[in-house]
Amino acid sequence: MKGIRTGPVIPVLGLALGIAAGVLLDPSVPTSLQPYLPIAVVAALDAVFGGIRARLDHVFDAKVFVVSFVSNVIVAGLIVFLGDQLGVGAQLSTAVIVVLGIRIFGNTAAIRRHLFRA
Amino acid sequence: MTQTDPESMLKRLLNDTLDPGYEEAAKRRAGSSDPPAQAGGWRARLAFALCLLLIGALSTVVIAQVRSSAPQREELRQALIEDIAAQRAAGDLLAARLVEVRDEATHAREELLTATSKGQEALDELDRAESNAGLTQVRGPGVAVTLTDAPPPEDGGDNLGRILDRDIQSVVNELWAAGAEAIAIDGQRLGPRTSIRSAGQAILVDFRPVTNPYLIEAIGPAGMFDDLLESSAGRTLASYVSAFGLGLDVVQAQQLDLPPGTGSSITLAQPAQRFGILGSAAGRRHSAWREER
Repeated sequence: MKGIRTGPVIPVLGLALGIAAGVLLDPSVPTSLQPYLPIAVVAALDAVFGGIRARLDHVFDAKVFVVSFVSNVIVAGLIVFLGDQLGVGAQLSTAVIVVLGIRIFGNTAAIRRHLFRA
Repeated sequence: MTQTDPESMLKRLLNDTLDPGYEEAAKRRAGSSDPPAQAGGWRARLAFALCLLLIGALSTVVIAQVRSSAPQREELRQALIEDIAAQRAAGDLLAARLVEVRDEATHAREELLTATSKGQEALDELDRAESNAGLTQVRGPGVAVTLTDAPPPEDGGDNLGRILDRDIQSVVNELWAAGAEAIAIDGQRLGPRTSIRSAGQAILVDFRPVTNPYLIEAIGPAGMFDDLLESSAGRTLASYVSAFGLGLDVVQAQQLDLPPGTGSSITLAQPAQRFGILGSAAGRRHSAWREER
């Protein structure tokens, strides 16, 4: 496998296939999981922007990306689930969104500096 | 920046937005010969591609779901509103039909009973019972009380001058206490089993909504006017008028026309004599109570 360049082909292709699958298959999500999906998407976005920044910083590592994505989604879901059980689900969702939002902002700012040198 | 710095957590949150895993992985790789782009091997790259696949699918599904649920909710709301309107119309129709049928029954009864003196007696008793139960249309002098919500506050806060169910209850109670013989709220006659309560923001009289301004008409002695204004409920409401700006208007009326109540059938409560309760302890207490009067 050595010698194959990991360009943006894999991520772009993966994303495109995923979007196509989501549109074409239109999978129905169990009702019990529905409240966690938006949180999962925000956690995934955090991992994606972290990955892009790492790539621009020349420290990208696919394994780290996978681990950070999976753990982000799971931990965010668990926090919100725990919050729901304790009756503070809405507040903890907000907390998760705020923290992930700050990270996304920080990473996009770093990406912007890389791309536009400003 | 040290761990003991009280602002360190916030600073780290704001500045160290990159997953520290990347840094560490880069350090680990520093010694090895793998170029960064290929670090992790093909399995990591496959997992990476799968993750992105998942992210794409996840985002699409969530967006599709949020989009489809918004109009659904609006549709559901609209359907419920239509249901309410339809059921209310059906209820009105049935109430009108009830009045009609009751009129027919009354006429038929009168025709049959006026023939004999015994029948005439029974008819008189029935008429008394019906008017006591608020089932007949009545006319007479009395007072009309109008309660009006205060205008909503400009700052958009809670309107403390909104009329509540207990304001209407207190006025009605004072009117009964002052000798009112028949009361109607917004044209809804109060019977022995009528409730006045709120459900959310709405006030229900006999389970039907009444709306601002609330008109309470009562037939009764002329003294009701002063009795109501001097009662504790009247004074409390008057103080609300100056404090919260709600409207309270009481006028004497020479002639009020109050509609008949819809009434409701009683199925469980039987007249006591039928069970011989008068011989029981409760019955003896009841007779003693009657003798006192």
